[in-house]
Amino acid sequence: MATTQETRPEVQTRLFRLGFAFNPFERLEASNDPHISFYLIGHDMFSVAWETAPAALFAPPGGGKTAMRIYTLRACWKNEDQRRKFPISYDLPFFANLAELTSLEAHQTAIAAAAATDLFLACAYRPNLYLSLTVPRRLNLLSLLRVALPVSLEYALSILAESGDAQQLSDYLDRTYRLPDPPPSKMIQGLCETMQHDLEDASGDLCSGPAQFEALMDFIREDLHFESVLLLLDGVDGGFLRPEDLQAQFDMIAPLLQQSADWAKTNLFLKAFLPVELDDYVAAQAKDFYRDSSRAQIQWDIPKLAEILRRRVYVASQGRFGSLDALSSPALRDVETLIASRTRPLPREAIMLSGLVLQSYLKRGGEYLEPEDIFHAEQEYPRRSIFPN
Amino acid sequence: MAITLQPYSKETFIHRSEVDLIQGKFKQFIESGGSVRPPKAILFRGERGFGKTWLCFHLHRTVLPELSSSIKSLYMALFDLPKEYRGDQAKQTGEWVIPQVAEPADEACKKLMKWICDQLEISYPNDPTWLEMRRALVGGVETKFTGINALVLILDSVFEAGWDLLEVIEENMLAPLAELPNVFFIMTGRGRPYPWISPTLRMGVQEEALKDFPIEQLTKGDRQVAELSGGSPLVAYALMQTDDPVRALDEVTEYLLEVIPPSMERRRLRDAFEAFCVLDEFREGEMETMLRAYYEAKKQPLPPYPIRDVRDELLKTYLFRWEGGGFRVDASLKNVLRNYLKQHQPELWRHLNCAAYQIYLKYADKYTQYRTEYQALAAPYREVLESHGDLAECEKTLTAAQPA
Repeated sequence: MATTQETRPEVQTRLFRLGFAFNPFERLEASNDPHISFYLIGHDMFSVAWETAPAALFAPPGGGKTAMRIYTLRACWKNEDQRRKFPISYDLPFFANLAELTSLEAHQTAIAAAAATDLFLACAYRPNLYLSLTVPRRLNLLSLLRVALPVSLEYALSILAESGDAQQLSDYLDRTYRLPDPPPSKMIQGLCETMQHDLEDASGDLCSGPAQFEALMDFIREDLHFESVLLLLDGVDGGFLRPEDLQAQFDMIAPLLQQSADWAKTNLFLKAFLPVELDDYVAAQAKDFYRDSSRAQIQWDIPKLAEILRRRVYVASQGRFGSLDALSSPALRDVETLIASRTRPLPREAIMLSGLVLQSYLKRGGEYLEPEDIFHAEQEYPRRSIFPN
Repeated sequence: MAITLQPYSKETFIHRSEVDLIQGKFKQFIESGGSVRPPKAILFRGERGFGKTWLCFHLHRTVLPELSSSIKSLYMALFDLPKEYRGDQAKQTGEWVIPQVAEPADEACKKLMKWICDQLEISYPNDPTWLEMRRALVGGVETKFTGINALVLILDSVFEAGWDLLEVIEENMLAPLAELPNVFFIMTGRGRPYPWISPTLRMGVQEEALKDFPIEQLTKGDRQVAELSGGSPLVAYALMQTDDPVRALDEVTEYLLEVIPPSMERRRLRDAFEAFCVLDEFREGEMETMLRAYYEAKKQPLPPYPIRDVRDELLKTYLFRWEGGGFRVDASLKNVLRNYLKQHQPELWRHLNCAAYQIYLKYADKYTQYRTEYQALAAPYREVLESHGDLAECEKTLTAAQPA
């Protein structure tokens, strides 16, 4: 698939000759796409994710929930100096055994793990966050990380120290967590040395998950001075539960929905990125949350899918052109709409088919993109799609 | 004839509706005690010569200072200004122009941030790190601009700046400042819009196409100049400097092409612009055919450059861009070139129109699923050829060129 294309120099060269700085359709997963922040469309949904209020954001699988979560996370760090919003990526399957998530306490323990992970990663990407703290606060943070991180703090720190690269730590802890402008390795070395030195004095007293949760939230708001915390809940449909187990999915998140109003009073805002099928369950069984929170839903249709494809072309060509039409023979017009109308109405699918079209064009080596490239891609598409025929 | 532009002056500025828009928004802001806020950013998009820079100068030097002393504006040009403006601008306060000698984006951005701090009397450490610089700037601005005190950053030619520079500027300056309640942006740009990442800039931008300039006021009833200018005040002003505006079209073209960097072959790029000016919206295939037709008509060999290299060179001039479903030549330049070719090189003009007509006729014939669209694209060229009595000849050459 296209994921290996960019490692082949001849493909890279051909893309470059066409006017692309990179392959716009190479990455299907928002989680590992460094350009995702540039691609995002759907401002209505983002404004709901961004406001300081509890919210539910619905989309189908492959419909952009993770992309929106990652964009929101990175947007929080756009203005890091002002410390307005601290994002916590609570991607369920990563931080909990889903079968055990039946109570608020279980969630709090898992959220503490997520918060500790994001705090440690935030320090790796922005060492001053840690280095500007007073020594007692640093020791407090390390103590919290030691008990709440889902992995050994010492081991994670050794990865960071040895690599001198914050992205290596992301690969280990949460590959979706990538902030722009990672610090130079020299700065990371300085951070690691200070942390390793501080660790000698930090305690690792065991306390309960809910207590860790409370302590971490207090630390973010009071010691790091963030005005609010956005709890970005994702992956509800990504675990062991089958898509049809909607009641079980709802039951799993119900404690969070019930708690969200109280959390909002302390400037902790739940942002639940949910499969669209859960909308009715939330409406019927979490009436208070439904009434008091904001809601948004991504509905994909052909024009919107075509728009995201065009945006990818525009960004990857660095504004040279905004459509594959630029590279097409007269036998093709409005290529993105043609592609979007031939896939399931989901971004991931439309991006995949576009990648196959581009791949066919590059492989054929013709001067212009031709209908045969779309034809070949359509032949290949059913074998690549996550949906069976 | 050497065309020179008139530096901005309040007296010669011709009122346009965009001024009312800005004035209204900030007046409301002041009268409401700062509670009714203007949009976070207003973007005026328009092509070269449609008065964006004069509008910026007018807002910065006249409108906003006259409105209230609580509004502080700073003007920043992210693309080099014409020489006449540059000299005048150097005498003004609160105005910054990107250095003519390119420097690394990081360096340019930090200098700009320091300049803003200096203008606002905000102190910052010597040799500051990014964090120190951001904190100084954002913290200083946040403290100084509260209540009805607002900072308006006027960013001229924002899309003509390199994306590497815009990325650094957004990250370190625009995005953090955009978060402050009393900071607002007025931007102008042509060419390829930059895809902002910051949510505040993405969602808070109100885009305004520049309204038609009241060209009759500038041309003082000279209908020929008004028509030849295509509505561009810059072109009209240049044409008014001569007794024979038709003859001056060549000079005006050269003037508009002055934005082409010295490292590029201006004559060859002018050829390309002339070749493409008869088209409204086109793709690479049409570009290739039109260039061939152009050099054939001039009885010159086709320069040995791949069409995609030509495309990229033209894009670098910002007088050529992708918009909607195809590439376009900047409206001012296109209009001047069309008039120039019509008046001075009528043979070439007809030849190019015939080439464009043939392209779309062939497409309509070959790609039947798009026949209606291609026939519609051919129609304007048919009209031009018909009006010159050249249609039959053009259709004859098309038939002759087609295989039996």
